[in-house]
Amino acid sequence: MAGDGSGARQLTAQEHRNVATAYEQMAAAMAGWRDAAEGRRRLEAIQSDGLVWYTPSANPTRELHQGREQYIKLVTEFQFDYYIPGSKVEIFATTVQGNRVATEMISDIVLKDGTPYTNRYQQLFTFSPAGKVEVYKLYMDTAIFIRDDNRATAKIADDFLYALSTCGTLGLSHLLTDAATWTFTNLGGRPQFMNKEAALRRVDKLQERLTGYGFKAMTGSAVVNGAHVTVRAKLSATDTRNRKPIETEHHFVIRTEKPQESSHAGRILGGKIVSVREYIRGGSLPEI
Amino acid sequence: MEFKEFDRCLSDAERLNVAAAYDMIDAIRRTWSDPQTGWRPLESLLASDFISFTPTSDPDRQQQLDKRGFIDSIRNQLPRLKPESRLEIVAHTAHGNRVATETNSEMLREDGSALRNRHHQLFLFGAPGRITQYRTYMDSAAIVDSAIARGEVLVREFVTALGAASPELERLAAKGFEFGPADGSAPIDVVVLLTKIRALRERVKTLHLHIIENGLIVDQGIASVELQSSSGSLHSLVIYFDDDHVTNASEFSSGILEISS
Repeated sequence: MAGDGSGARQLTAQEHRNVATAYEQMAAAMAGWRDAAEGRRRLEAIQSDGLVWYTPSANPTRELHQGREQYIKLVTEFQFDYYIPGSKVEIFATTVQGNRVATEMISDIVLKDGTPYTNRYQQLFTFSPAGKVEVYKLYMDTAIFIRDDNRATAKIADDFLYALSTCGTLGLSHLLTDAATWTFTNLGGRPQFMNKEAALRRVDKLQERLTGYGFKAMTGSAVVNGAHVTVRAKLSATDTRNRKPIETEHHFVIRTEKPQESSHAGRILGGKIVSVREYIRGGSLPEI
Repeated sequence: MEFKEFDRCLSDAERLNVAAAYDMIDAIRRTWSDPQTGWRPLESLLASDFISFTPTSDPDRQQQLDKRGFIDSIRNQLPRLKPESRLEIVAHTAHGNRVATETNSEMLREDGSALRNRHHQLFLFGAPGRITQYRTYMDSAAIVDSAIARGEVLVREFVTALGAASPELERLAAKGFEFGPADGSAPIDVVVLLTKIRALRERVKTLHLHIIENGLIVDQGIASVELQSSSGSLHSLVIYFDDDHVTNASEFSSGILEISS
């Protein structure tokens, strides 16, 4: 519990009850991850019918005011579906005054796809005179979601470069939508616009003509914003027709079907690659 | 500060702590309009072993400031904010040596940009009224959003200045700025770049660079830009930047300096 006792007032019975209820909300949530009915029962017992909960933000798209039913569904449906056993949230300190309880909490969660999700929170619970949670504010490190979403989007670039470097094109074909387009602008040249089939044919021919046709991503070069990811990668290859070395740096601008999305509890991965725009510096690729 | 009915239950020590929390925020705010002395109350409010940090599970953003570092950060940063900026505690919760405050902020910068946020801070006390720890929980994504928005403005200004061969290019480029041409030749500095662009504009009177649709993708400190020049060529740049300047630009495929009329 909070405080080192130095000059601390004695808490009232109501304040003790409110602290216990704050702990119970998180315990009930964790119970709901395993047993939806139990989670619902325990949350309905301590949350007011008119509960309002949200993550405070000056950005109206991030501060979404939701009600009790939405909180219960988040716990007993979304989190129930996505969190592995052993996932937990843990309150480690509280500050209480009257009908307000501020709690410091950590989460240590793993999603069923193996992705870890951890965060740091200072929640604020506001209670009704009857001791039910009326308002629940979840202050937390929201930039974690940006980091994690960007990691998921950047992975698309990793997968793309990997598929481009496998001396085959089926992997690349799998990453692209059927209607995907590919634009390549050689050094000093005009853009070549290709549909998926033509792009894969070009890659196939480059793989045949150049030994060592494989790309190494440049560290820290990924740029991620929404459904777009760009990445720079180096190519070191040899043109088998004239034995000339090719040392080039490529800039790929990739657009996916949709941006990565996250909620309070997890993330939904974006789709396939819709377009690739490829640029080059330091040299040219053979015209195919 | 004025205590309200809600605070009637607080002990004397707890009242001292609440007042100290408000005084610290007040000192930060005063520094915006009085950078010489506004911060001085912090010297007595903060204990000698004071630390400040924003709790995060991201090791890249984990950092702690000690008393000197925190005071320096207030003294150095805040003169770049306009005095009309706001930092206001709207509610507090206090018990023992802990005070949690809900705070709203609106930071108005000299460049016209603004950063608004919502914070839930935690003050920990040793002796009553002396702050030993200050933890700021907040909508950290707002800071990322703001940095990206400012980066986008900076990059757009850079591209405009580049196309116009404007002296603004020197103001926007950081000390040590380098431009890497598409052909992989040696990087050039901003003075050489400006000279070459001006020479280009003499040859190509209608030089104009515009960012294509969806051609500007900005992340923290780095941007990908795709431009079309008046010659119809497509140019790609990867631009690195800090808070106020472009630090590096590398071009790909079609060299801007090779544009012909």
